[in-house]
Amino acid sequence: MGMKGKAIEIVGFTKKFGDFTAVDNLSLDIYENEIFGLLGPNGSGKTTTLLTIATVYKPTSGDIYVFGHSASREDYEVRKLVGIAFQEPKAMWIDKPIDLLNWHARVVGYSGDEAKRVVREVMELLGLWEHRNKYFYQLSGGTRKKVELAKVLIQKPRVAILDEPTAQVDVLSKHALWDVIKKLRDEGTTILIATNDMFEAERVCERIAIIYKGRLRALGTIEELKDSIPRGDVIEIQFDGLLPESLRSELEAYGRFELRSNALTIYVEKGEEKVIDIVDLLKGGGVRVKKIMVKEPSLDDVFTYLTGAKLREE
Amino acid sequence: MGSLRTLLVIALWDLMKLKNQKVFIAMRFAWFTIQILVFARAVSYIVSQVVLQYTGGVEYYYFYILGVYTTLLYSTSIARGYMIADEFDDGIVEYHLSLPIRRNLLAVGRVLGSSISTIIFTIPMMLVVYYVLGVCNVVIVLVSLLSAFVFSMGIVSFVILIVFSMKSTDLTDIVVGAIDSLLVRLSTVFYPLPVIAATGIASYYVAAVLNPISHASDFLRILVFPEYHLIAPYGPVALILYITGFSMGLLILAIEYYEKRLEAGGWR
Amino acid sequence: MSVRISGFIREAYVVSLRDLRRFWQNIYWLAGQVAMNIADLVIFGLIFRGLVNPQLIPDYIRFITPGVLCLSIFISAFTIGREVGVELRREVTHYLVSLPISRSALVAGRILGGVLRGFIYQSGFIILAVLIMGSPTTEKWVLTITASTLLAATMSSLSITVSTVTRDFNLQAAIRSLVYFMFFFVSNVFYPEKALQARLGSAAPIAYYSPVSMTVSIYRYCFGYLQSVDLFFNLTGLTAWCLISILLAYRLYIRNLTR
Repeated sequence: MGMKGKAIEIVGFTKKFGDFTAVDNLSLDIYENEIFGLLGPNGSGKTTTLLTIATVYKPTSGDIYVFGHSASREDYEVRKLVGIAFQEPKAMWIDKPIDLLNWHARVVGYSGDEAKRVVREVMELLGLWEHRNKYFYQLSGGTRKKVELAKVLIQKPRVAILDEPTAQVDVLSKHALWDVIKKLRDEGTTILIATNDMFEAERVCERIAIIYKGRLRALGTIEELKDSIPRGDVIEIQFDGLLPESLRSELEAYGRFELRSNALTIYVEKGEEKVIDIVDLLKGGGVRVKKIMVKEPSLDDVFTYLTGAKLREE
Repeated sequence: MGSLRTLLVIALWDLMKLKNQKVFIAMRFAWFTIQILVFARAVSYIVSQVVLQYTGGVEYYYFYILGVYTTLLYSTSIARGYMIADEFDDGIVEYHLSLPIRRNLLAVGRVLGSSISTIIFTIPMMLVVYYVLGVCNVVIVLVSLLSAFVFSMGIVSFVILIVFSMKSTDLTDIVVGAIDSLLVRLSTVFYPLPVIAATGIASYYVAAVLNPISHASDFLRILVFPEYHLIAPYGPVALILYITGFSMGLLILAIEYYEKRLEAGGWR
Repeated sequence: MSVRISGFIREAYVVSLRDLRRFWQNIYWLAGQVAMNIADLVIFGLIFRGLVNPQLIPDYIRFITPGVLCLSIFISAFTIGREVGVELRREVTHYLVSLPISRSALVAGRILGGVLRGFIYQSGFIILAVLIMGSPTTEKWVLTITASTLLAATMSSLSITVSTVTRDFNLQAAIRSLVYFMFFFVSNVFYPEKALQARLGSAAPIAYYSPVSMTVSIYRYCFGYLQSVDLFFNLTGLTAWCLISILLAYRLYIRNLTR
């Protein structure tokens, strides 16, 4: 990561709406060509941050730089680099996907014929072509989200902002869209995804920031975040016979543990490293180990630990 | 992307919407035709011939239908502005503000697009009016189209400014609704200025004289019936300069607003 | 049976309350509309009155007041259709048809909502009409209220019908506007029958059979502008309009909501 330049630099960014502080002194860097996840429950400030990067909002204080351009002072330069797929699809009921996307292609710089070609390509890729002439109100929620994503795929910006890109999308399509997002990154786009879908974050994002009530609570790779929970890993060991009393005090040195008949559950840090020592300890004590399982904490667990709140809270 | 091309592409946004409104245009045309052929004819039937002295000799029916056409131009421009307010509600302003285009071009493009849409929308109605009036002079038709376009730009800019300042569809409804109703009533679209003067209410007369809708309708009347010049307070050049000044002034304010003060949010 | 009827009335009443509440929520719009209609009356009185041929209409203010009275109830009752259309668009109708109430109570409630809106909106204009034209006798008050009820139910039902006739919302709005303006222009609200005969010729009866014209004629009679009127024709006609409109609204609203 260190070798890559910064695509987005958020420096002490605060956004207030009247008396309400939506984002409070947020600072973080997003590197070129990474898929970065912004996690947080509804109302945590994710969308406000994304919209300010897209220059739709202006920072109250601090600033955001996209490839060195200030969002507050060089908004036009920033917009030339950024494409955004909004959380709520931006269309009126009377609009048709083909018209919206053709116009979008034209406004981001394609000529008439090029626009038609690229729009068709992207619509076919996302399975939208058959819906091209339907009114927006006739489309399902998932299809509307795909139209929104199509705008970014047409634009191929240097920074793509995707606000909950697969919300309302069915499971099969989600997997296809994740592949499309990764392909976009492979083609050179830096991707910033806001989501509260843990599976999506784990599956797609390389680094993650967790924000809650407008403040940054954690930042790092998924592994780093999981490791940040003290004794967050769980080692489950099944064995034959009884656990000798003498091993109990030695096991406590690794972390809290629970014993139920022939099953031992130990809460540790970096479980994948410690499991070997623990198994050796048991074997040394004459215990015959039958089955070993190491479980990492989920991102939900990470979030709960960091904020004391549930990620999916409304 | 060149500025002119950008402007045209932005204007296409509004034209694209118009494309999906063919049936609505047809219906609006039908109701306008009923208004011209039934309502206007019946109303002019009950008007006494005394009115001719106030209209410079122009039949009240002809006077009236040019007024109705002006109010149509006005209300269609207002409706385009309302569409922008609806877009605010649907969050489309966020999308537009995120596009890789300059804000001043976005402002001009939206005003242009809305005004062109207004003109296209009202062309069938204009043709009915000119058919009824027996106008077949191409120059008159073109000049009236141009003046309608300039007038529409002013009204659209005006509504955009209100929509952006209010950031609330409810407030916009109330404010535009009130101004809309007042402007039409305090104008010369349905009553000639000498009749308004005869009421003796100075503020009513001043409002009608300053009202851009009065200027737009009187300009069209002078264009078609030069004798109307006799009772109009200003000549055609002054009238068109007034409309142009009104529209350009509001357009500049709209651009200024887009560039300096507009950001999304705050209307919910 | 009586239990079922009282259940029906209660359900319809509850549905109508929803539409009534929305009407009050637009209080500024309402105030604006009332102000503008009053302004129209003032302008008619100040200006148009002087332009009208006195041999045709001796006093235009007294002529137009019952017309404005009729427009007030027509316009407000008709507003229900726009909301029905918006609900279809936003699929709120799915919620409505899922409610534990009978379909007929749902339709009746919507129509009743329109009627109540009409009466609320018209009340101010009734006072104005009394101030301008004097109060009708008791019998004529009964007649006025009957005509208002029939017209409000007709317009409420018609607006619901045209709003559900198609799922193409564009077309829906266009048809609603066309119906609205047909009634608005092709009637005797603004001009007497003589003007309609002169301008429409053999097509003039279209205006006579309009529910708006029938109501205006009854109002003009009740408020003393006309000394006599064909009450049988106007009341029977209005009743027929009302029954057919309600039947249409019932059939089309339910069919389009549940298909």
